[in-house]
Amino acid sequence: MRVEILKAVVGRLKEGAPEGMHVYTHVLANSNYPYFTVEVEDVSEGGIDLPSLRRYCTTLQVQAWSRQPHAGEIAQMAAHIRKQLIDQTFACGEGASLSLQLIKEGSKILNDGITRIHTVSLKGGVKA
Amino acid sequence: MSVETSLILKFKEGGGSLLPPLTARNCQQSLTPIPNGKLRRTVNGVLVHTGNKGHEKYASTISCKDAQAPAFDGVWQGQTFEVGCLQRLSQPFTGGEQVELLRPAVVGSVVVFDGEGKAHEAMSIEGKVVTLPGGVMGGFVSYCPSLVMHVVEFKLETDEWGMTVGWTLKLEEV
Repeated sequence: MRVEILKAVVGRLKEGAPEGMHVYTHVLANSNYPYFTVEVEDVSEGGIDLPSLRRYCTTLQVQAWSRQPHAGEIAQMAAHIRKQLIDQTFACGEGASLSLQLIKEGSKILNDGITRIHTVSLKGGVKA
Repeated sequence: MSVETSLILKFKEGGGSLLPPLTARNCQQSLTPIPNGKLRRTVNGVLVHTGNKGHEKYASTISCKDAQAPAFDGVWQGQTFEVGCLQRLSQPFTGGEQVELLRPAVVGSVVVFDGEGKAHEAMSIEGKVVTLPGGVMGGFVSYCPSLVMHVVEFKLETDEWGMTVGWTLKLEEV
């Protein structure tokens, strides 16, 4: 289910993403800013081992990375994450849906003084 | 069933769910037997229970913290709800072809666990009678009860800057 959740969230973030902003699950050394990263931190299977009653809970972290000298770009990326993911329900794998809820979000500038990161932590439930 | 919650909460006399979107994600529910009778000692020192079989009922507390408030305007103490519970009940069985549940089950919630703990679909469910799958000689039937309950009290609370709405609903079985 981890892969299905990852695909669903990446697909959702790509929809309507500001031009030139990529979504990565693994960032290569030569990747160009700005971009989003998605990390599924945990997937736990709950419910009962029957297809109709199987449930999954997940926590994930989505980050926006920008190197613009102003906060406009990171704010735009944060707004995109909110619009596409927070309090949203969307398809996740075959016949299942994922519903996401915000845990917390926040921004910071890294010690290099250039790179801005906006981090959104989410929890979600998947049900067939 | 909604992906947000399996909880069902609606007026007994009809109408839609009282849980609009973003009101009931990650709910908690407890089911507690309502005290029924007393434990007393006879003159010979034997402990007896004075409760009445017909008074074996559940109380429930449901609470949640989410983004929106449930549709509780117009809800008051004593009103009757149909509650499709999150909390499961399980009944043991040994052999036989059918098991009669003690409460009606939420549609789609009945599961038969065999002696090894493997889950099976029931062959059929009519009312409270569950027909067991063939070859399952003993185990447990697990289900989410559908209870008719009166509202005892509820509470709504908003954390303005935290942008969350919390709610707690206390109910007792009719």
